[in-house]
Amino acid sequence: MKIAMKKSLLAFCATLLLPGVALAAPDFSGSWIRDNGKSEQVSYPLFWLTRGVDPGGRVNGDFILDVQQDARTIKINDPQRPRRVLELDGKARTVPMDTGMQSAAVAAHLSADTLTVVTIGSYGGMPGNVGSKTQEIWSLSPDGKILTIATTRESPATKQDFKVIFNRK
Amino acid sequence: MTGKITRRATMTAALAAGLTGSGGADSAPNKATMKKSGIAGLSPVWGEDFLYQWSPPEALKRDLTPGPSHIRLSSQSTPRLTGEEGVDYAKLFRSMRDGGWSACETASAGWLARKRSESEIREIKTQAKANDIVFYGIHCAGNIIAPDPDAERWQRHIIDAIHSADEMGCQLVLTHVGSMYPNRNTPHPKNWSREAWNRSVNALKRICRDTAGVKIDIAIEAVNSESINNPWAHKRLREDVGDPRITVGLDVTNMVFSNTAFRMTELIDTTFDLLADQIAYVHAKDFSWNSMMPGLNWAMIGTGNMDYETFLARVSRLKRPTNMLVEFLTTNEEYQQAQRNIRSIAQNIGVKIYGTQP
Repeated sequence: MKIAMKKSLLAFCATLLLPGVALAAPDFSGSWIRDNGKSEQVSYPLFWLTRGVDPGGRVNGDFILDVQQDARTIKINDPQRPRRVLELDGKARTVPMDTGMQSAAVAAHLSADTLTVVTIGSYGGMPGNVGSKTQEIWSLSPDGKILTIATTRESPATKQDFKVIFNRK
Repeated sequence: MTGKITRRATMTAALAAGLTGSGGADSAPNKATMKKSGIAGLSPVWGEDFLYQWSPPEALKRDLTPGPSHIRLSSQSTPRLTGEEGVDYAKLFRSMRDGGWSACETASAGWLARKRSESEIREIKTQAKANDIVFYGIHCAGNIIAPDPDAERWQRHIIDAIHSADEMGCQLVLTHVGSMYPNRNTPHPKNWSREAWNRSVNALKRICRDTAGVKIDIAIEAVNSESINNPWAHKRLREDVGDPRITVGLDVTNMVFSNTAFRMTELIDTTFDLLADQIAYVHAKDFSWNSMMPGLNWAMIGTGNMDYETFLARVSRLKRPTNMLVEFLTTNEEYQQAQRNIRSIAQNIGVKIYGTQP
């Protein structure tokens, strides 16, 4: 599984390094208010609870996401999780997971329309977890007023999708 | 396993194991995780005079060396082996194998509700064997220390289950030490009192006495609402009952509370160091701590706090192939998802899971 994931990340990185792809990249900089009514309820940390237990996603509310982007990096301040600073060169970097107990390989890339962030690590960031690949695709509406983050999380068990919508402040 | 266990013999054996290795296929005790004080619990990490010891040590080393024993998976997906009449056993066991399961158990309440004919028993054994399914045990209901007169009724139930397991060629029955409330899943304030402990020990002594000569393991499952909720209690129970048929139906998740929720690698290692030779089979579950109160919740296997790499490695290092019950999920699809995660984690570390999943 680990080998398969590394291969898939390498393939992903290779496509990201194609010349000219990032010429007209979108700029996600700004303050974004989460649209609670239009967003799927997602807990942070991302637990996969069973037996009908509510993971507590409804406390997400209409929080503000602050994003600063320049030619090389994107800095993401999400009040629900540690600050992220991502290099936009498409190269995978090993970073500690939010639990501080495991590492993940993270690669971020800007295309003409989207920002794609791929994280390959363990599912919950705990020792002994199953491997998982999470892909976030960030995109802007044509008028630049709505930010959509579509996340896909793959593990051997299944593939999970969820979408969160933000309005520009 | 034969002969009466004495505490002195057990202590001597444990000392020898600590000095020379466990003497079996499982690895020598990991001294880093063994308690050093006379108190049940994991070793202090830092600041024990003012902090609960809830975070694991930095740079904890994990030994993920796979062992030679394979693991057979069983589940609580449907259809299951029950006490129901008119079952097409060939179809039942084939459906289990088709789902990737290679072992099964049954629940005592339904199973003991009726008597089976010799021909039905023969058919169950024949079809289980034909489909390469190991029918290993009877998972018992009840509360052997319930307020009287229920305790007597439930002890009798366990005794009946032991005889039925023997008749079916099983390895074990799974049972619990019980609660002072009628419902054993409700923690009673006195479940950890000397009175409750003595009731549990005496109940198990009686069960052993009334089934003397029957070679069925009486595997005890830890449950956090009961006195047996840690590996040290498991070990002491066997010594106090004094019968080698008292073994462990290992459910590590059932031992978890706040103190151990983030120290699962150590809890798993300590449990196997202490109990490896007593483990009759194991349960597979996972959990997360996702709220302010210390209420732990069920999680999909491989996604929560359980260190499944260490767990699977330790199970594979037991002396004999072990059956693993995947339980406490809801739908058949969830059981398949759990199985995929288990097989993936096992494959990563070189542990053999018997059979294949479609």
